[in-house]
Amino acid sequence: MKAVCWQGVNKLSTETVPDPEIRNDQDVIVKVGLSTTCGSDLHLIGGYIPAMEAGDVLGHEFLGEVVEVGPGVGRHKVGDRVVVASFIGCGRCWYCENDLWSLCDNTNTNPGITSVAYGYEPGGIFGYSHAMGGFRGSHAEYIRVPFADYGAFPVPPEVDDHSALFVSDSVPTGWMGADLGGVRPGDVVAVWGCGAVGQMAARAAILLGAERVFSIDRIPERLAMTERHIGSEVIDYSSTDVGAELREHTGGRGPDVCIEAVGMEAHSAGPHHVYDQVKQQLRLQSDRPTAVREAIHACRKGGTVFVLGVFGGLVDKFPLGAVINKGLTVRGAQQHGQRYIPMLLDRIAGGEISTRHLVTHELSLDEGAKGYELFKHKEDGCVRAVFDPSRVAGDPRATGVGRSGTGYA
Amino acid sequence: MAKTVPKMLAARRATPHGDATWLVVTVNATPDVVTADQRLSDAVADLGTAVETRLTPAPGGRGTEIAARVQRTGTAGAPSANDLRLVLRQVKSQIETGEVVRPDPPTTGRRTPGGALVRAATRRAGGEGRL
Repeated sequence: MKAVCWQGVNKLSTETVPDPEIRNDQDVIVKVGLSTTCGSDLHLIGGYIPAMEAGDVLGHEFLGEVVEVGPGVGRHKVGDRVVVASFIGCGRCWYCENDLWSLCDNTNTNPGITSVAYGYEPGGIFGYSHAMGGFRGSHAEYIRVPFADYGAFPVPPEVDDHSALFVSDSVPTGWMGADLGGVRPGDVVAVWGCGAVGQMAARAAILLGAERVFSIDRIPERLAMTERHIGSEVIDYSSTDVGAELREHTGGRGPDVCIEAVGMEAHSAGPHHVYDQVKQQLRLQSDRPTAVREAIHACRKGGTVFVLGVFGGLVDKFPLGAVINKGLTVRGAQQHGQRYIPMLLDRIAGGEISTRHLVTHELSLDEGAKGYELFKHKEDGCVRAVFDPSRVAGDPRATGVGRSGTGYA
Repeated sequence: MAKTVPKMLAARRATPHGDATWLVVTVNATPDVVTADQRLSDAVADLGTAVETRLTPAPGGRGTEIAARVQRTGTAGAPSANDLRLVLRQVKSQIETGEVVRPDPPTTGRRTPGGALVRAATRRAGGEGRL
């Protein structure tokens, strides 16, 4: 089958690789319908998470059709249209039973790597290096899904593929940031980043009752998209002082909840961006925490900062003094998708959450490297490049419902 | 420095009583379920007679703590800490889920220097880390 493979730092290619097979009784094989690029993939591609091997298949946010079922699977049958949580949860360890699915004890096949790095290992994830389990990714024609009874969810007929795709990761990740960030009715919430996850975090904050939600970015198309499809107010950090703007809009208090949805390759307008960039390139720090710092400074006294962006290692100049002296709660997590996915599918079916607009570019698997170039450099208004294995390169069908103007809520 | 590092490493391996370190996993099942599960006794038996185990109810209803250690370090055929961790993790997964999830096989046999490092790490990673 065809698959988009990592071949080395900043080198991708589309290869023919062996088809996946049932390796555990509780596996299913899914024929991939759509699979999207994600900002966290860029950390792998750029070599910031050095646990990839040439030939590893990328991709973790996908949906498709069940085509083979292991003998231990009870909830799925061949032909089911399913969206699959990007983190793999066994469903029966203490963490899964307590809805902390990305911390599953039983799905990271290489626990020694991350337990040394982090103290304890997180769960496994599709297409996210050998440090996170060594599972093949979804930018392929087929993918094996372990513990499918717990991680694969039927998609209601009224939800189309382009909408359901993002319930695999972006929507639950965003929802989790607002939910575990403790957003309550009447709150003011600020979200750093207008990518898919940031947009979904802002939408979640609105649906959880926040009175005002501010989304912060610098890309005009993303700011416009967030205003139009999410309904939050937007701040262009390249043209204003974000902290001052947030103080002005919150009566001088600062936001109650600040959600960082940017991650380890953050950009900023200030000189600290150059500082972080140099330190990261020299491997003196692994991650650039620019947006986290700004969120901590902007947050009101006693407020909450939720770190949704993916970070891999160590950062410099972390404002711990602000955390302590302002009495902040700082939380973070990889997504506990299984906790939210059925509810989110219902909300999409009910028209409360719109996701189709995120699909700005649709490509074939043969165009894997091109898709990531568009996505990484945000070229041509790219928010998400989505791979459709049924397409061929140069397919005359529309290339991205988010750009064609169709499918908007 | 040459003397300090071995002392530090020895201290990490030893309990306050000077015995070999207990390696412990918590299984999300009650002690009677864990005790009755043949997979635990079979796995311990496979490790040989030098391995000692104990079961303790975990606080807060979190299940059962399974601890294991090698009673006589240096005994011929005694399992390493890596072996012991691997078995404890596998037994936990089998009791909790009925299986031990396997990674996908590599898509290619192509060898690169970086890939060789990753493969070296993953060969041991199942039994490394903290327990």
